[in-house]
Amino acid sequence: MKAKRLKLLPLLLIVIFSLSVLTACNSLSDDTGKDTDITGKNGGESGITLDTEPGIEGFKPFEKKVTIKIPVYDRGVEGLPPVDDNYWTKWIQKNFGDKYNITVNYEPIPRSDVMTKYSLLIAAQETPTILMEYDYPKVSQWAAEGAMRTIDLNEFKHVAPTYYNEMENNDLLIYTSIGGETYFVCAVRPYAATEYKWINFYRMDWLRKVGYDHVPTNIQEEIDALTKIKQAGLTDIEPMNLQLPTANYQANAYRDFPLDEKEWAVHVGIDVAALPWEPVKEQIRKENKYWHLGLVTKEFELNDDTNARANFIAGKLYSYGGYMASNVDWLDAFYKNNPGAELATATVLYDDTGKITFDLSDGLIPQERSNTPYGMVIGFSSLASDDQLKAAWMYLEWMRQKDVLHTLQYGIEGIHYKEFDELGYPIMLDMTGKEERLNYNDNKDIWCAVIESRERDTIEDSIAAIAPRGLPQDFTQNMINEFYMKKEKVERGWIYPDPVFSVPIESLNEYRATLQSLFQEFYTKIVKCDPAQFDALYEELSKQYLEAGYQEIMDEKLAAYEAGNCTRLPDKSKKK
Amino acid sequence: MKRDWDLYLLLIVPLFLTILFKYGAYPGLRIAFMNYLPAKGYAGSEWVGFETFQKVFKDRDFHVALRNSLLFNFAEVIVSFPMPIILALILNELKVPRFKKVSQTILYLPHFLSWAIIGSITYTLFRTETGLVNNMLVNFGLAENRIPFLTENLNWAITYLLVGVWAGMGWGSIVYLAAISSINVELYEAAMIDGAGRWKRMWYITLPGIKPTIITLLIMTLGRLMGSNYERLHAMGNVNVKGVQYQLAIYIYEKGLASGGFSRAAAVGLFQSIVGLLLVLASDKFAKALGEEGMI
Repeated sequence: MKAKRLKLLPLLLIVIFSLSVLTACNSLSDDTGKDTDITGKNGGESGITLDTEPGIEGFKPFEKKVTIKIPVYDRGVEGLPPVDDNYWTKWIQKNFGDKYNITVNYEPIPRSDVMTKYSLLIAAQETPTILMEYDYPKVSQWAAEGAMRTIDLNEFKHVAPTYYNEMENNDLLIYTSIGGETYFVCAVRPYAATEYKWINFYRMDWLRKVGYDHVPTNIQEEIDALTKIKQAGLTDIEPMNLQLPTANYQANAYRDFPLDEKEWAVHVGIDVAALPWEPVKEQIRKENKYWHLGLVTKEFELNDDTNARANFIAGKLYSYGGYMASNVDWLDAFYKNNPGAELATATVLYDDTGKITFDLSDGLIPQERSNTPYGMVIGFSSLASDDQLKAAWMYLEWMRQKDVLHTLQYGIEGIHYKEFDELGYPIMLDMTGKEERLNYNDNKDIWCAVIESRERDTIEDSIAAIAPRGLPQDFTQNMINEFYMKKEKVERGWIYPDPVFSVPIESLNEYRATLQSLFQEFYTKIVKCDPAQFDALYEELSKQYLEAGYQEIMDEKLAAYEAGNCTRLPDKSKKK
Repeated sequence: MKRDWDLYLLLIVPLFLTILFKYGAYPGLRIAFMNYLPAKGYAGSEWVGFETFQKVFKDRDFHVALRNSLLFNFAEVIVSFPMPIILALILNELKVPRFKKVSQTILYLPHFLSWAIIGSITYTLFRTETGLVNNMLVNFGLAENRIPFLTENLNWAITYLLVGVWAGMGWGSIVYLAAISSINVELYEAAMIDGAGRWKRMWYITLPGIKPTIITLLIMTLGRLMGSNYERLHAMGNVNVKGVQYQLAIYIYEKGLASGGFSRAAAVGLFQSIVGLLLVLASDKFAKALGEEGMI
């Protein structure tokens, strides 16, 4: 009897195995929506029906369920619910999806490895319905490789007029095409040139102890202050954080000003570091000097942001920075760990007439990179059916509505806030640990599809919205002052955008990863090398870098620039 | 067949999975001969013949990766391959059953740790400035200067190999222990009567008894001479040691997957497999020439 029972076991196992395989196959076809009609893709004008009123008033539920997949950054922040399944993804499904017979799925995209994740999704024919990135060369690569379908902006305008008008009002329509074909729509980035969300903080209490009443405004002062901080034993590690650079290695302050437009077109950008360019060399020379003085992290090549943040919170670092929001956990933790500590933001200087001025004693013009005029650049999967394309457009238009955006940015009255401040904006409740809490950075990774920051009537109000609350110090005014300092720089032409190419730079796509890895390796060698060997080593490694692909990128960018396939520098920043 | 139908039925599952995931993927190898663009699929991508292979073989980085992979894999054969055998022989000689079981469990455990965790532990222990080992060496006066275990090529290579031994030898010894357990006990009894001590019994009975297993595993190890483990290299690597850390797995990831170069990744993968197969065949032939059974 027992033996007979044992004999039946394999049969049972086979049945279970077969059923699970069949179930998996079934769920695949459900999720992808590949069985829907895909006529009209890649043909510019699609088969989308436009027989209803324009905009959200004309939205009607689809007859057959439509599934769309929206990418969302996964930043690996601890203590938060999954980015693809949380209170807000469910809220969107309930308030948008269910209303129009659309299933909205989210695809987590690791923030530090965007290209690999998208590559794998595209290769597996699992491309999200929309593909979005801040970085133009990345989206243009996807378009060039056929991962996106072309779109008709008139059709888009019909379905999403609010979104379209925002693009038009912010001069973003020029970024919708590449290689003569229209692929993209763009989210708006308010105050692109005067980015105010990123703030660097400095240990003012340490500076006071070593005789400073302000944050240093030039290199000489900074070296002096850091040396004194070290000598005074205020920290047991190197006071300034240094870590491996990314491809987005800017050496703004070391650029000749005004700029040579050709040099700017060839070298400036965030996709590949311009190692052989003189300004980069001079900035690395400065880092080499700081390293040999023992002012920056000694083993920086093994360091990362998590370490830096932990060290700042532990009261061991002089400076640390990040994006601001009403609740910044590392600032909370810093004040808890360092009672009595005082932080400062960058010094803003004023002349006798009260006008903003700058310390130029280094002989350097404090240039900055303007953020791109657009936020997310959004394209649509070549696998998306017309219905899926329309549903994705409806998603963007729905999210662009004031009430929806307000809810996504601030939450729901009675749950996330109960009172309003003197300007009439919600005072957010502490939702730490609660299921309903806003996702990282006030749900930004969801609403970034339509706009890049919380927008209010005035810049002061906008800054107040993201100034961290509940801390022993209030930084709202500091942030406003920094904003006006940047505004002054824009007026002087010291803040200017990166070039944007309207044709794909193929060599960039081919060599980007190799050059990124090579840059980190070379950077480490150069920063640590004997200052007497600096120039010789730099020259040798630059040569290798050029041979590894950078020369090809330069040549291709130059050709695109000369053919007129590149944006131009503002006149104020350009060498005549 | 009729008698053992249940066993044949059970065989269907692994057979199906092997065909699906091993042989089913073979048609995909064609992307090595195409300029494959995932969004365009097989049909929309262009055939380029051996162009990708030519590009790869001309690439200096490929030569570096190939050299490092071969060097490290040879070193693994020399350093790591004998360790499980030695460990199995030692474990076999332990006479207190409880101690033996506890030792075995402790030795197997590292196998279950991911390379990400092992890498993290390694860095915590061996960093130059803040590593526990360096702190101890300096504080106890055992070393005057801190040792750059992980930031100099040779030191890193040694650490990399030894950590590999630590992580794998326990698990690797299981096969040899199983082989030892199948040796006829009477042989040991006879040897003892003849006055053979532990060393003699180990040398003349245990080792010859597990020789076929050693040869089979050696042939399989030689077949992996072209392989490399991305997870391990990534977890243990840093920019200072790229000169030795840059192996084929890193090459494939960097120039293949991360850059969307699927054709290049497939070309290198195919090259690795073909060389691996040739190595297996050659070592099998060599084993047979020496009078051993081989495995094919």
